[in-house]
Amino acid sequence: MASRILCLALLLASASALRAQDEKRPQDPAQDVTDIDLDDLMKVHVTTAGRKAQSLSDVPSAIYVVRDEEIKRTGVTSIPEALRSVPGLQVARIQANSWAVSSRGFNGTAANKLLVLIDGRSVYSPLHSGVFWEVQDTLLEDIDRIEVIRGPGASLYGANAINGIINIITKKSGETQGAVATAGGGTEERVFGSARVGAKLGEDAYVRVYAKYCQRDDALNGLDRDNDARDGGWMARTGFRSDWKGGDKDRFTLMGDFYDGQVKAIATETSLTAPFATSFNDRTTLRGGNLLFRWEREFDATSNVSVQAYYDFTFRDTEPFTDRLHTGDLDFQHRFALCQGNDVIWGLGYRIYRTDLNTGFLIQVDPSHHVDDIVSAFVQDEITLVKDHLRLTVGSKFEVNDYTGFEIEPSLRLAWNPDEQQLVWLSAARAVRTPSIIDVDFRFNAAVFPGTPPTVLAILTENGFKAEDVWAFEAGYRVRPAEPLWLDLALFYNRYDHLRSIEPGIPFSESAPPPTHDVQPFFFRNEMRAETSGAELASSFQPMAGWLLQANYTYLRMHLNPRQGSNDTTSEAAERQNPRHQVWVRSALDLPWNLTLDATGRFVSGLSDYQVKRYVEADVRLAWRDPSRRWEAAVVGQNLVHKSHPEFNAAGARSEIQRGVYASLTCRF
Amino acid sequence: MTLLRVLSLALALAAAASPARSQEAQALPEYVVKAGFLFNFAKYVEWPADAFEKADSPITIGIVGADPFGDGLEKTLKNKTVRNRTFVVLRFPERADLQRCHILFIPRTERENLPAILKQIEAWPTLTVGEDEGFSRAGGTTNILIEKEKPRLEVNPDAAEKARLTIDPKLLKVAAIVRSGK
Repeated sequence: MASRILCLALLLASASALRAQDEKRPQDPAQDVTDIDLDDLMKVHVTTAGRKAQSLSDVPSAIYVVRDEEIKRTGVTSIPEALRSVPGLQVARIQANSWAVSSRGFNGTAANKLLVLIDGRSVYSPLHSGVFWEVQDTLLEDIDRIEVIRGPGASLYGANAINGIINIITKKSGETQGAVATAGGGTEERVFGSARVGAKLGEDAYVRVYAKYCQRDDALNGLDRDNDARDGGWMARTGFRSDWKGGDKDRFTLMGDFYDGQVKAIATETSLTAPFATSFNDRTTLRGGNLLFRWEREFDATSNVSVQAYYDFTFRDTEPFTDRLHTGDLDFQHRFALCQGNDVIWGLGYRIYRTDLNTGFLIQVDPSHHVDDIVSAFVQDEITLVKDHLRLTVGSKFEVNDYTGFEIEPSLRLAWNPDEQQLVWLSAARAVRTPSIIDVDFRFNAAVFPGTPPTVLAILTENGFKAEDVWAFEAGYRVRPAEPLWLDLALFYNRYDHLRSIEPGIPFSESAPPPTHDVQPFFFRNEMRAETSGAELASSFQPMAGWLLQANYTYLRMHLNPRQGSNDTTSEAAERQNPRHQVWVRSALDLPWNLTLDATGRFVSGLSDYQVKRYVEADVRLAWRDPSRRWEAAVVGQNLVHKSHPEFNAAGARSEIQRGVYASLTCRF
Repeated sequence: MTLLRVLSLALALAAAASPARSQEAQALPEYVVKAGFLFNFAKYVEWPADAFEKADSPITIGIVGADPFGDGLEKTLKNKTVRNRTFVVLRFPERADLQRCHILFIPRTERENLPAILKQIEAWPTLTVGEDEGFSRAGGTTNILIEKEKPRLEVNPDAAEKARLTIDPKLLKVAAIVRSGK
């Protein structure tokens, strides 16, 4: 109890870290420049176009931003699909409604080294530190940008940002005024529709409300391409966001969402009696909601304070388990200039999770009720060593969690701007992934072999699971050699230790549940080490007005080796579950007659462990807008190259993603 | 409760560490500022009655050639009104496609084509807006220049008169008056 009170004494800040990055740039000015009177407009300080484009280029880490325009014009229909462009990320669609997304390797259905935030709200599950992507959605039209930082990120972020952070940022409600309605349908994206209304509530006070529905078709069965995978589903969601100002200095945001849906899947259950394993069609019910409040006070251009609180609820009823999760989070951060040339950000955070799990025989969690809390603090100082040329960023994150106690995650970054068009950066950082519920209180009865007595192959947890840790070394170079060309290169070398391993144990006999059976146990321990390295290149080129070309490339090499004494024989397969090469290209072309034509293509090299062959896929979108911009009609082809193709997992645990076409109509008024 | 105490302590620290400093002028990107000027021009310029179909017809802003605003202009002007008129942005990548609009932005990349563009729109009640040295002298109505990171305006009253536009004294006051030169 004492520790709980102690815990309460701190507030969480990890979630708002990217906001801090945000505030370092010139404030997003688009929404209020018209409020500036002519006389005052004559007095503003103007930054030139080159500088403006540099705001992103100033960040000394491997950052990539997917803009609203790109999301819209590529015609993607889900957040994970929008992430395919990001160099350094591995994005694979497993079934119609499930994705595996990771950064710099270690991808999987439960990829657990990534922090994902939606407007400052963390959405990875404490169950397995992974993200259930099928429920992470919003009105894509209202997303302002998706910022992705690969690597341990700035020291500002909390645990789990071990390989990267994805920050999905929606537009302020003042920027989404008016009404927009979209409806459409197609072969895979069966039926979808959404509506949003934005209104002005008063002087500097805005609100928007949205609702969205989508229904997805089945993909094809991974083992038998002539049949459907029975993995389609539907999802309905609604939400709101309100932003208002109090006086000159205070800004407030209140937002919330609610969703409900159902997706089909083929579930497997094991049992101690014949038939020992069965597969059947299951329906997963997904429901959730959240409410977030944020207060920001700006003292001046270099100093501000923000406090954020949110509550999040998710409910997931699927065959192996039913999970109810409540999350409460409180977050404080403060930025100020210390002396000359020191830009300091520090913060405190507190997060509490409450999980209730109902499980069957296949998956067991004991105790079924968990209350876990995390207390964290961070401090970072960006020191200007040579004005406009050399900056040093020193920081650390500190965290106290219920499983491994105190963790420290320091980072050091050096940024050198030889001139306005170039940035060279170096960094070294340590990060940890603290244990999730399945690392410590979990049992997975993966298979039952018939016999007298039957033998259960089980994955078990034991006491003493440690945090996984990494030392990450990065270097980057970003340059705009000529106005229409932009290049961004990042290199990394990561050394992991104490990664989760699966160690065989000594067989034992068990009488409960009956009948008496033998158990061949495998234990989660921290006996893996890994070295990963890679290169990520992003480039964009504008040959002429109205035509943009982008090309991104990812190279990844993973090498896992067990510590001495480890008998793990399965974890090294991760090396063959992540693509060595990925290429993504895009052309965005404005045509005459108010037409736009967008095409994206991607190449992903093969995953030999899953017998997934390398593949090339392409999406195309053709859209027409009437000159008043009220109506927009679009036709989109997705995954056009193959009739169907697999992307991830063993054949029995995946679907084949089909070619799809959909049309949509949007009206603004 | 402890939580509140820590919060208030944090806030106190925050306030203490933030010395009052002179409010520096806001720094804004070039084309955000220019979008702001376009909005203000709509406010301080009066068009002849026949320039609009109806009392609430939108003000059309055209951009000829390469658009330096990106989608910034739409974003800035979205849901904004001047005298009950909303804004519509039109783009004319090709000079030949020019259509009648209330404001025409002529980027500096169109320097070569300027005389031809001005000739083409001669008869229209169009406020031409430029961003290039010599634009007003060449017959453009209003010119937004950036000098030492500060905006500077030029207005050519002859050009305004020719297009039958009335420019509010408030705008004339902050701008330098430039006459068409030979």
